[in-house]
Formats: sequence, C-alpha cells, structure tokens
Amino acid sequence: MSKTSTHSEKADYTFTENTQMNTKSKFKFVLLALLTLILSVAPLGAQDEVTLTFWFEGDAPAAVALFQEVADDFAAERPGVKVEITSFGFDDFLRVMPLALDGGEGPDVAYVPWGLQALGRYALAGHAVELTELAAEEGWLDRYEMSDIELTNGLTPGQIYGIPFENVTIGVFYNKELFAEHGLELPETLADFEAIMQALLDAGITPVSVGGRDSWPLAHVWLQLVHTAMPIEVITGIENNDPAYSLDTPEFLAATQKTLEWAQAGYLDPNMLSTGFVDANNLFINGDVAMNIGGTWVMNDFAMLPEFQVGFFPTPQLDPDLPWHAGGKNPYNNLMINSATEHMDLAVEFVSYMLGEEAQTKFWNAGNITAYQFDEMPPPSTPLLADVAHANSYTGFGYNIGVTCSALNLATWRTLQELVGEDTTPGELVATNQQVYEEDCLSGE
Amino acid sequence: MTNLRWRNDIPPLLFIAPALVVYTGFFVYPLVKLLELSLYKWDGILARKFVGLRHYERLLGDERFWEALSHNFSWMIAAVIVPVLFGLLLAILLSRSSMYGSIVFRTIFFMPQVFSSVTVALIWQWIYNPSYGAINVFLSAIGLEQLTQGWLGDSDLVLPSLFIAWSWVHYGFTMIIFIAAIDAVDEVFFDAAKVDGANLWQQFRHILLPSIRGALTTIILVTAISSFHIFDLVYVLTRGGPGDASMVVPVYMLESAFTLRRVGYGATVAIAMGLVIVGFSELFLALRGVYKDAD
Repeated sequence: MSKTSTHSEKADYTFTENTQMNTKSKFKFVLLALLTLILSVAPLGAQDEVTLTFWFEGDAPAAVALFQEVADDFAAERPGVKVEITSFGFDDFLRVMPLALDGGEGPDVAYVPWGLQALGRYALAGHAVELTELAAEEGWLDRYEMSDIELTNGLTPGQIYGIPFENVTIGVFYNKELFAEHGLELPETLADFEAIMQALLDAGITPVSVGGRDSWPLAHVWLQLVHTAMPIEVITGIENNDPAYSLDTPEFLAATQKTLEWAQAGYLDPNMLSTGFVDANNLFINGDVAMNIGGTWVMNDFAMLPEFQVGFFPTPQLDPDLPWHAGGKNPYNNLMINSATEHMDLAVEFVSYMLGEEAQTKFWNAGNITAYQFDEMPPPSTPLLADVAHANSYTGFGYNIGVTCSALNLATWRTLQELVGEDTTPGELVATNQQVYEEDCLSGE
Repeated sequence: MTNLRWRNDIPPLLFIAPALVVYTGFFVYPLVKLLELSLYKWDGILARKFVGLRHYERLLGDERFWEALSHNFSWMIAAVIVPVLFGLLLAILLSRSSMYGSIVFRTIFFMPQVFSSVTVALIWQWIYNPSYGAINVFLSAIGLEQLTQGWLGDSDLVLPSLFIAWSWVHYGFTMIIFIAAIDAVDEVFFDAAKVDGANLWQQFRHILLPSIRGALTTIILVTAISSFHIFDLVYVLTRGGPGDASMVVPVYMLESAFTLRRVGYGATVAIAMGLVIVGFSELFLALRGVYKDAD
C-alpha cells in the first residue's frame, strides 16, 4: 500500500512536473518568439523613422507657423521622415547654438543669424558643412544674389557655408486713413516728408512712433537717414570692415544732426525712450501715431489686421543727388548644415527644398520678401506687400550698418539714446562710432 | 589609538562628502574655470588665445564698467535704507499693534516677493508706460499732467524708477524677517518698560532695536549683496539704457560675454563683481564684530 502509494505519489509528481514543464516551455517559446519578432522588426522601424532637427532664430508666431508648415510639407513627401523644429529668440539663439555645437550637439540644419555674427564663426570652428559645390550644382547662385552670399560668408572668402534666403528692408509704414483724413500725399523729397510730419504735429498727432527703449528701433531712424546721405559703397565698405571708410564724416554727421532735429521738433514720439518696440507698434496700429519707421519683418503683424489700412513708402533722401536706395537690407539668416549631423543626405535635401521654388513661393505668399529670384514673380499676397514690392522696384537695397560688427551696433544704439536724450552731441556720436569701428570692428572682434 | 581616530574622523567626513562633492562641482570648479576664462580672449566658439592679465588691465580703464559699478553702489546704499526701513516699519505696525486683519496685510505686503522677477518687470513696465501706464494716467486724471514723465526714458529718473520697482518686491522679504525677530522678543521687557514709563520711541530704541540687531545685520547684508546681483529687472525694463544711464555690472557682464562675444572679458567683469561683493561682506561683518565687541 505504502509502496503503491509512493509510486502513485511519484507518478503524480512526475505528471505535475511534466505539466509544469510543458507550460513553462510554452511560455518560454512564446516569449522567445515575441522577442525575436520585436528585435527583428524594431531596427526596421527605427531605420524607417528618421527625425531631422531644425533650429531657427525667430519666435514670432507667424514665422514659427510658416516654418512648421514648410517642414511638414517636406516630411509629407518623404515617408518615415519627421522634421522637428525649434524656434528661439535672437539673444537666446546666439547663446544656445554655440554651446550646442561646441558640445557636438545641435540641430541637423539651422537657420542662423547674420553671417559674420554667427555662421562665419561656426564655419571657422568646423561646425558647418561647406556648401560651395552644392550651391553650384543646385543652381542657388543663379537664384540668390551673390553679393548677399559673399557678405554673409565674409569670414570664409570663396567658401559658402550658408545661404540667406530672406530679405528685409526698412522704410516708412503709414496709416492710410490718417493720411487721407488730413489730405496728405506720399512724399517724394525729404522736404515733403518733413512737411507731412509738421502737418500731423500741427493737427495734434504724433508723426512717428519709435520704440527707443529697445534702442535698435531708434537706430533704424538714424540708419534711414544715413542710407540716403551717402553712396551705397560707403555702407557696403563699412559692412565689410574696410579700413578705407570712416564713420566720422560730414555725411554721417548730417544724418545724425537730422535725427536730433526730428527728435527736437517732436516729429519722433517724445516718449520714445520709454516706449518699447511692441508699444510703439501698438501706438501706430491704434492710430495714436501716424507713421512707423521700421523693418518689413513687422509687415505680417500689420497686414493681418483687416481694419488697419497701412501702406509703405521708402524714406526720402537726405542727399537727393544720390541714387535712391532703401536702407536695412540684411542678408538676414542663413541656412547651414551642422557638420555633426548623422543625416547628411536628408539635411542636404532639406536645405535644397527650403531654397527651392516651392518653399520660397510659400514664404512669399506668407508676406516675406524672399531673396529667391523667380522667373515670374508671384502676385503679392497683401496690399502692404504690394506697396513694399513697388517701393523696392524703384529703390536699390542697402545693407544695414552694424550687421557685421556687434560692437558698432551696440555703440550706435547706446549713443543714439544719449543723443535724443540730449546727453551727447552729433559730433560725439560719430566720433564714438569711429572709435569703436577702429578698435573693435577692424580688429575683427 | 589610530583605530579610534579613524572611527571618530571618518563618519563626519562621509556625512559631508556629498555636500563637498556638490560644492566642488557647482562652485569651486566653475570658479576655477571662470578664472581661467578671464585669462583668454575667446568668442565662445573659435580657438582661445591666452592674453594673461590684459583683461584686468583693460577693466581698470573701462569707463563703462566703473559707471555700472557706481550705479550698483548707489543702488546698494539706497537698498540698505529704503526697503529695510519700510520693512521694519511695516513689521512693527503688523506685529506690535493689535490691528485687525494683520495676517491679511502681511500676506498682501509679502505677495510681490513670490512673483517671478520677469512678472514684476512686466507689471512695472505697464506702470511706467508713458502713454497708458498707471502713474501717468493717474497724474493726468488729477490734473497734474505737467508731472507726467517718460519714467524709464529719462536718464535722471530711470535708476530711481527701477529702484522703486525693486524695493516693491524686496520690502516684503525684510518685513517678514523683522516680524519673526520681533515676535521672538519676550513681551516681559516691554511690560517692564511700560511700568517704568518708557514711551514708544524709548521702547523701540532700548528694547526692540537691540533685540533684533542680529536680524537687522543679516537683512542689511543680504540686501546689500542682492542689490549687487540686480539683473533681471534692469535687463527686462531697460537693458541698461537709455545710453548707460541704468547700466549695472551684471547686465554689463552679460553684454560683454554674450552680445559682444567677449567671453574672457565677461568672466573678468564677473570676477571683479565677485571680489567687490566678498570685500563688502567682509567689511560689513568686521564692522558688525566691532559693534558687537563694543556692546
């Protein structure tokens, strides 16, 4: 009994053990099968899914939405490709980008600020891919102005690391309703312009809003006068840090004196030094001020307000004998490829797409002045863009002073605030600028 | 004997080791790097060039730096007076009086302290706005239009205007420390003084002030040091302008290091500022020691 019982127990045990083993084996088999499946499929999936990162300077909602749209269009044509975009404010970008590049990180493609401020330095440090051959192969040199490309790649003569595709220009935005109400015609000469400002002032309306608390908008007023006071070669020479040119000349002095005259006459908002850029634009939009001297990057902000009738004209010339050229053209931001990218082919494709007609048409239609030279120009998408395009058709473009030398930029901004605050004189301003030009810009700092 | 010393010495060392590691990693190492950077000319991305003490030499002759430093000193002097006195006055009112709703007032007065500095800057940007800001609108409404100003655009008014905005935040901090100190003073001393016929001023002068001297010196030191760190409010509201009328050393340091890409010079400015703060703190603590000994 006992023996039988023992046998029986053993048999039961064996049965149980076999059953357990079978269950375990099945479980292991299923687990292994699943693992095999996952491991064999996962790399395929990973290979299919590629994320291209794109950083750009410019945090205006309209700009971010536009870049997102163009990036999505690019990705939509390429299954398994995703473009992840990140936007930055100007100062943040200049701080973050070098740190990222220095650490072997950063985006695959970036739209980086002005050549000599950022791109050129990234290129010299080996962080940007040379695009010289590609530019020739892709025909970009036929579609984009060589002078812009040369200026923005000025630290690496003969080698192209970035292509600027957006132009901005500076001029006078005006409130059409206020002009009509006071019977004002668009000015052709500086005397006309001053007569308009005087008429508005007499009517109790501040003629020009300036966000001088942020300092750079005030510099735009001065730059407009500078641009119309001297030949374009002088500006370009200074932008190229050519020691043959000077900022302490009668022309610079005349432009500076005129800026002060306008401030003292009340043509420029008397509260400009305590008014920021956004507030100045709001004063203009609200009809409290009749004009705004500014850059075309605000065009979309103005144009998107359907009830705000806004127009644009180029600043009349201080020296009418010179060819008329609008100041403020920037070979603005540049597309570059990070040399540390792991997706070189895709990055090149993305840059080609961005610089191509399809994407550039989108940028134009969104109200940007694209540098791309279309065979047939698309019609302007807004009346304001039509105004700007019209102005650009009879004036040349001129570069902004200070684009290539931050020290000169900051010195100008600072001394202009002091000028309109009557803490310095026009003579001291031009002398300071010349000193900074010699000490900082010409030394390549 | 040796074993005993090990047993005694090792555990405390182990206890302070994590803090020491953090301190070394986040303070000592960056400080050494900062010192190193100040000896180089570097734009933050291209190769560095060793320039020795040239940045320090340049700093000595840099008028903009000295002007910014003088603004910091003016700020510091005002800071150890205005928010400290205001905070003390409020603390006495809220702590020593049987005012109804003092808890609510404490909360209201302390409220600015919990706002982020950028929020504070935006609030004051609106208050100082020349066109629709609270101050100018109020002055116009009561018929004092001639007193309206571009508060942040006038080189004589900008620094006091910024200081008022800063004080609005800081007095809440001084008030709360003073309240804690005042509450800790035994009521028996005041009762005894009253029995002896001491008036309010005498109670303040001979009982309250000596009792809160520790808190007072701490507040003055902290306020003075924080006034040297003033950055965000100035950066958001004026960036040191108009011209350099509100330039302070931290904003100048940022401009040098990042906007002008003179990283080495920016590091030099930072070191100079650090030395000034350490020097001032040592001086202040030494003075406190002298007075303590005199007591």
